[in-house]
Amino acid sequence: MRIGSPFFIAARSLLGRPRRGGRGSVARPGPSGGMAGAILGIGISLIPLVLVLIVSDGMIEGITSRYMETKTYHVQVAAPDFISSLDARRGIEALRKTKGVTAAWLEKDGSGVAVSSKASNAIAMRSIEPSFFEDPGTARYLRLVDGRMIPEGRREIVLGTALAQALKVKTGDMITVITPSYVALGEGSGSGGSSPSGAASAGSAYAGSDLTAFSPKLSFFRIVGTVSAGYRDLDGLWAFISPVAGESLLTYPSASSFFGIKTAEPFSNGLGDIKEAVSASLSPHYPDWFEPYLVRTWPEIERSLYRSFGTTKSMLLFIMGIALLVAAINLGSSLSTFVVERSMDIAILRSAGATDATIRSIFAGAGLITGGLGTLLGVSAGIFLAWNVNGLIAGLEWLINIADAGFAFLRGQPSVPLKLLDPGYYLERIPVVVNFGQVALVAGLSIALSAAASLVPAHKASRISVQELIRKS
Amino acid sequence: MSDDMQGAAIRCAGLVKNFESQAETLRVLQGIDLELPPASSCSIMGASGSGKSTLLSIIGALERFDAGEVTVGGYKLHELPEKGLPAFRSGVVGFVFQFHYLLKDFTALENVALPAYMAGAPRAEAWARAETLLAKVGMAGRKDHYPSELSGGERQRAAIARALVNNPRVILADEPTGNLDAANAAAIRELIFGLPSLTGAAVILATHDRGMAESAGYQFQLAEGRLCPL
Amino acid sequence: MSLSAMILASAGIAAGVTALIVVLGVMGGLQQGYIDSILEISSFHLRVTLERDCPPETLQAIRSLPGISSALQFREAHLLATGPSGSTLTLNVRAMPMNSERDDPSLVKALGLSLEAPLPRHDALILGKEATAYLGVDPGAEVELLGMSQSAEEGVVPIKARMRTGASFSSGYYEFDSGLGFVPLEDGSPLAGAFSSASPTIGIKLKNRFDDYHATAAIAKLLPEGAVILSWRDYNRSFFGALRTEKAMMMLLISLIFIVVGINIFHAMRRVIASKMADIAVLKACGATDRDIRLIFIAEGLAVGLAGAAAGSALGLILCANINAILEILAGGLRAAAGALAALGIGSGSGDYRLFSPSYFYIDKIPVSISMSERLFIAATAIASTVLAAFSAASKVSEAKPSEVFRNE
Repeated sequence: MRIGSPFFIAARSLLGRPRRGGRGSVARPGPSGGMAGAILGIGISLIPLVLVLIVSDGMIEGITSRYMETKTYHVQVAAPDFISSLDARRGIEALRKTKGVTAAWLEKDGSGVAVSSKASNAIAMRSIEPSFFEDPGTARYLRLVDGRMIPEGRREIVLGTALAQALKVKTGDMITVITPSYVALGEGSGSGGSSPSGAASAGSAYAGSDLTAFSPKLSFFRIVGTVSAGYRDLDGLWAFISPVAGESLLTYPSASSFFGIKTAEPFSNGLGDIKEAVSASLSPHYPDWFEPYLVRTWPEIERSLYRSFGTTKSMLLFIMGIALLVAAINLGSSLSTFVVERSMDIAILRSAGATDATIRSIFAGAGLITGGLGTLLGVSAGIFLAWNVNGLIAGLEWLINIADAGFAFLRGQPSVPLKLLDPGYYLERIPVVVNFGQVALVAGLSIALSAAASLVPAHKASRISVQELIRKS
Repeated sequence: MSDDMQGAAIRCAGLVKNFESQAETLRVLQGIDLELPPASSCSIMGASGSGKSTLLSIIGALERFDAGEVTVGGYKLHELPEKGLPAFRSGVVGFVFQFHYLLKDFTALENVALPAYMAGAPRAEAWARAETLLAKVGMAGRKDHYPSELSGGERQRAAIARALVNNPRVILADEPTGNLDAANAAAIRELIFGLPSLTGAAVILATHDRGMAESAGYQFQLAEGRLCPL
Repeated sequence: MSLSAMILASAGIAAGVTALIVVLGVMGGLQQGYIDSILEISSFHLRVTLERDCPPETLQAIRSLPGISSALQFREAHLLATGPSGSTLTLNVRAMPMNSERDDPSLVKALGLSLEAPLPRHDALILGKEATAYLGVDPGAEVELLGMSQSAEEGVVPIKARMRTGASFSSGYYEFDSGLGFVPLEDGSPLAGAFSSASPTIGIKLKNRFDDYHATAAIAKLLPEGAVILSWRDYNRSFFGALRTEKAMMMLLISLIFIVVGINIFHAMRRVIASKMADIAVLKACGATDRDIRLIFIAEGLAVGLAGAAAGSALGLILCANINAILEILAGGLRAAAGALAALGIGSGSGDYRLFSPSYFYIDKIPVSISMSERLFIAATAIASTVLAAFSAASKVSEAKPSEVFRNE
C-alpha cells in the first residue's frame, strides 16, 4: 500500500513550507489555526491524564514501599505468641540462609492505652531486634526525628511523632502504658498476674468464675526518641520497645508475634517461590506449630489497601479521559473544516489522478499527524510537570496562602495557612515514578482516538469531486 | 484496455451533454463527432459559455455525459466505471487549465512530481522525471521555488510540466494563456504546440484567441452545441 | 460559527460541566457525611477544655446565648475493652451526665440512636456496631474495661471494671463505630477513677457553624481563666484542608476541558471572521463600530457557553441522582475492558471491579452533595471560557477596513 505520497502531502499541507533562509514568503510556515488548535487541544487534554498516572503511581509506590519496609515486611510468618527471642533464633538463622531472603527478624506487636500527664491515647507497641532499624530499606523510610531510634532495656520506648503529639509529650518524658494481662482460671484474686515479668500488675483483680479474666498491667516507660515514617495512616500509633520488654509485656490477649522477612526483589513475580523456600526452611525447626498457610506475602497482607488504591487510580484516569475524548472530537471538527478549506486542492489532486483512497489517506494522515504531535506535546508536558510535582505543589501552596491571607485580611478574620500535602493524609513528598509502559498505552489511546476522529472528515474529503474545479473556470 | 495505438487518439461519436436546472434543460453539446490521430494538435474555438470547457472536461473524464461514445487513448469512457477514472486521469490525460492550479505549499518540482508519486512511482523516480520535464519547459533554474515566488508564465510552464509527468496520450488545455501577457502567451503557445512532436501526445486546446487557434493542426468551432471544422 | 460547530462546542462544554458536577458532587457527598459525623459527634462546633468542672449556672448561661443550639459537658479517656473471647480493643470513652440526650439531640441522631432511648444509659457502656462485632458481644453482654487514674496523692492506679453493653450505635463513620463508647459520668461508678484526671470538656453546637469566631468571643467572657476554646476549623484543620485541596485539584484538572473547547471556539470564530471580512468591511462602511460587530461574536460565544452550561448542569444533576446505578454500569464497563485486555494478554482481568466496593469503603450507597455556589461556579467558569475565547477571536474584526470595500469591486 502506498502511504508515502499521502503522508508527504498531508504533512506539507498541515505544517506548511519548511523554513528556509530568506523571509518574504507570504504563507506562514506551521499548521493553520484550526489544526494548530487541535494539536494544542489534544496536548492540553493529555496533561491531567499523564499527571494523574504518574503522581498516583508515585503515591501508591511511596505508600506501599513505606508499608513494606517499615511495617508489613515483604513476607510474614505468623507465630504463636508464646514464642521467645531464643526460640526464634534458630528460625531466623534458617531464614537468613534461604535463597532470596536478605534479612529476617522476630516482631511482637501489642495494643494498649498510653497515658501521659496531659493526655491518653491508643498505642500500638512493636518490639523488634535492633538490626531491623539498620536495614537499608527500613532506614530509607523510618526517619529519626528526635533522640535515639533504638530502645534498650525494659524502660525505654521510642514513639512515633503523631503519637507523641497526641500525648503531648517529648523525648525525656515518662508515659504509662496499660495492657491487658491474662489471669488464668483459678488463679483468682490477689495481686500478681500471669506474666513472669514482675512489672506492676496489681490492681483490682477480679475474682470470679468467668472464663476470661484480665488484669490491667501498668508499665512505665521513658521516651528516648521519636521517629516518623512520613505517612500518618501508617505510623500514627507506633511505639517501639526492646525485645526484652516485648517478651514480658506483649502477650495474650492483645499481642501477636511473627517473623518479618525482607527479600531481594519484593516486586518481582518470584515471591511465590520465596514463600515455598521459607516454608521449607522453617518447618523442620517448628514442627509443633508451623503450617505453610501461616506464610503470607505483602500483596496478600495489604490486599485491601492495594485494591482501594487501584480503584481510585482507575476512576481518576477515567475522569481525566473525558478531556481526551473532547479533544479528539474537537480534532475531528477541526479536520472537517480543514477539508473544506482545502477543497480546491482536493479537486486539483483529483484532476492529477488521485483516487478516493488517496484523498482519504491524505486527510486521515493529517489527522494522525495532528494527533501524534498533540500526543507528543501533551505527554512531554505531563511528564515534565509530574517530574517537578513537588516543586509545583510548593509553589501552588505559596500562591494560595498569599491569596487566602489577603482575603482573610479583608474579611477581618484570621487566615488559616493551607498545607496542600498535609502529612496527616498524604505523603509529604511524592516520589516520581514513570511507568513508561502505561504512558505508552495512554499515548496509543490518544493516537487511536485521533485516528477514529479523522475517519469521518477523511471520508467526506473523498466525496469532494472535481466539479469544484470546473465550476471555477 | 488500450487496443490500437495506431488508430485515433480521440474519438467522439454523437456526444450529448445536458445541464439540468430547475428552470430548463440546457443542451450544451448536441451530438459532437470528433476524431483526432495521435501526435496531433487541435484547437476548438468558441465564445464563453459555448461548452468548450465542458467538452474538454468530458474528454478528460472530469465530467460524465448523457449520450454517445467517447474513446480516449483506447479507453471507452462510455463503458468506464467510476473506479477506473483515476487511473485514466493519471495515466492517459494531462490537464492544463487557465489558472495554474498549482498547490501553494509545494515547490514547482514537487508539484510536478506529485501526480507520478501518487500514481505509484518511487519517490526518486518521480522527482527525477519532474526535474527533466521542468528543464524541457525551460524552468530548470526555478524548480525549487514556490508558486507565490514564480511569475505567471513560469507557473503555467510548471503546470504544463505537471500535465506531462505521467506520459499522457492526450493533453487537454483550457484557455492556457488566458491570464498571461502577450510575451508569455506566445512562449506558452510555442511550448504547447511543440508537445505533439516532443512527446507523441495529442493536444486539444480550447481558446477564444484566434491567433492561438490558428497554430493548431486541426481547427474547430463550437457553436450551438455542434462542432464545425474551420 | 455554523450551527453544527456551535452545537459541537456546546456539547464539549456540557461534557466538562457534567464531569465536574458529578465528580464534585460525589466528593462532596462523601466528605459531607464525614464532616457531619465529626461535627455532631467528635469536634462539635466549639470544644472548650477546662481545668475544673463548669458550674451549672455557667453552662445554662452559655446555653442561653443567642446562636448557641446546645452545650454538653463530658470527660474523655482511653480504655481497653476486652470481650468474652479475649479480643481486645482500644476505646475512646466519653463519660456524660445522665439525660444528655435532651441536651444534645443532634448527637443522638448522628449516632443513629432513637431520641427516646437514654444516652448515656445508667450502668451501661454504649458502643458502635463495629466495636460490638469485633468484641463479639450482643446488647446486654458484658465487657471488661481496663484503664487507669492519675492523681497527685495516689500516683498511678490501675482500674478495672465490667460493664454491660447497651444498644449499639451506627454513625456511618468507621472510626466512631469501632472506637467510641459512652458511659454515664457518675461518682459512684467503677470507672469514675479513670475519668478523674481527664479535663472537663464542653461540646458546644451553634445554630450556624460559620459563626464560630463571634461565638468564641461571647463564650470566652463567661468562662474562667485557663479555659481553652477550640473551633471546629482548628480541631479538624488538616482533614478539612485535605478535603478542600482535593476538590480544588479536581476542579483544576477537569476544567482543562473548557480550555480545550475554548481553543476550538477561538479558531472557528477566527475562520468565520476571516471569511466574512468583506461583509464586515461593508457593515463598517455603513457606520457600524468595531464594538458593535465584536459584540455579535461575543454573543455567540455567550450562547454556546450558556447552552453548554445548562445542558451540562441538567445532565450532571441527573447523573448525580442516579449515581449508584451509573457506578454499577461503569464497574461493568471496567470489568469488560479488563477482560478484553486480558484476552489480549495484558493484565490478569480478574479482581473486584466494583467501584466503591463495600469491603474497602465503609459505605453502602454513594451520597451526593453539591452546593448551589459550587454549581454556579462551575457554570460561570464554563461560560467565562467561551466568552473569553470569542472575545479574543473577535479582536480580528478591527482588521477589516471599510476603504477596501471600494477597492475590490
